[in-house]
Amino acid sequence: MATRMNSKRDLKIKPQAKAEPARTATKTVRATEEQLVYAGILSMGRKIGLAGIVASFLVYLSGILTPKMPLEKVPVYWHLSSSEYMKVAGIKPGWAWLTMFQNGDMLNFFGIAILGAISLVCYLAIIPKLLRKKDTTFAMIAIVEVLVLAFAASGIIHIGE
Amino acid sequence: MIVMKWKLKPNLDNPGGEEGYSMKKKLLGVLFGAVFISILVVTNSALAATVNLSSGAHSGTPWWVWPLSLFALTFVMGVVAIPAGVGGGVLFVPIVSSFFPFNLDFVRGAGLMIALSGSLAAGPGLLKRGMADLRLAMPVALIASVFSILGAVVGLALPAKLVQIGLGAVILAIVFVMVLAKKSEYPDVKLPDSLSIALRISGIYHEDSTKQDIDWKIHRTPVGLVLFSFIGFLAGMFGLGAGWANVPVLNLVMGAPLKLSVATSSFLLSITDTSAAWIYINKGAILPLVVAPSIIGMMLGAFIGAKLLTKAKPQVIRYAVITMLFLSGFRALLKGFGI
Repeated sequence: MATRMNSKRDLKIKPQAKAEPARTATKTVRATEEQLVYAGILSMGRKIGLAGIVASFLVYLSGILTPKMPLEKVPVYWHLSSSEYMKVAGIKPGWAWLTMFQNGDMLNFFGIAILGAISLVCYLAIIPKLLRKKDTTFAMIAIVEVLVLAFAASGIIHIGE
Repeated sequence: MIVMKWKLKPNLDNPGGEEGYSMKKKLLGVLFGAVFISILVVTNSALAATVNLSSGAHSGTPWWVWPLSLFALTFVMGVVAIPAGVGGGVLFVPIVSSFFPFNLDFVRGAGLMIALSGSLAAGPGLLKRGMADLRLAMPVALIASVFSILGAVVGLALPAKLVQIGLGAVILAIVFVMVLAKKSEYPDVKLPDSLSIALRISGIYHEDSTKQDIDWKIHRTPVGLVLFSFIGFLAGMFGLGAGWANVPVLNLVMGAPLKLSVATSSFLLSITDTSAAWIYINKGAILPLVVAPSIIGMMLGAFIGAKLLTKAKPQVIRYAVITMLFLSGFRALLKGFGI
């Protein structure tokens, strides 16, 4: 198996000891190329997303940008369902927040959307690498996952009350 | 192949073999958990005196009290979550939905964002070190993310009371899984199944504690995929991170080594929770005043929790968390039945 893994997954494995066939006493394991690419994008996206959430929340609290729902009014309505809350606040569902960046509360969706988009970007980045390795099955899995995530993010799904 | 059960852990803590010492730790944990929940009940009752929680009409409580208390609570959750071996989402949803006045839609949306943030924080390092395996995660993540979308749609369409009852039942089931499920350090996989062979799901990871490379493979992949569809559905429906279920399925059912299962589970939550989170975002079930302080509190707490991991007594914390989950799950059930 070690030999097969070496060629398939960029691992450098020394021959295994006979007494314990499942273990070797070396530190030579490396993640695959696509795994490292995925990790790199995930790391960068996470930092941008979390910084975005903290920064936009501070802007929201500061009151620099007028929110759709005034801060002191939010506790009055947060017992409502999300649909009812949106009606009261005058917020449209889906991607409408993109057009409401001038409102402090809507600005927070910027960081939240980045966190939600990272996995999709990671998958898009590893598809060419998988195809280049002729790993068609996993390239197909990655493509289907991109379609699933894009479908979820699209806002096509409408849930009634 | 060495198989080590977590059940042996008390012996490691207690080489003298005094079983009573281990029991004391558990009881201490239960006591801490019960005290924590009691404080929440008292605080909740005090706030309920000034705020009509069911109507939302409030009389004098400044708005900033809520995000500040949410920040403090999630900070504590973040500290205990890592030593207890659970994700933030599974603690956040039952406790906050039971003791805070927010609609369950917003709590579940925030729960998913917290689980997602936690997973994004851990994922890159685990992938780079080869502890989490992308090849193991991708097929199960695809199944889980499809079903998490379905779960989110069903969860947001059902009446809140029904979801609250379901949440209570699921949390109580999680408590039993946490108490009863054994974990196998290196499961004995004699023969990998044909699907895992076809997908070439196997590998090697480096075990730092023993300075060895561990050769692993999996079995029962089709059963694992069916179970992941169920896990994804529950994660989407209740806004829970699903580490509590991912790890037993990867480890006990599919035969992945324990550390690899924990790491891969941490990473694959970022995919499962993303798909469900988008349904909540598009439905407007994200309230920045709830989400932002919770994410920040949980991340800061987790940072401290990771530092404390070497000094704290995990068994005490684990039982404290199990008690918190049991009491908040029970309260969620009562709330669902209108009691």
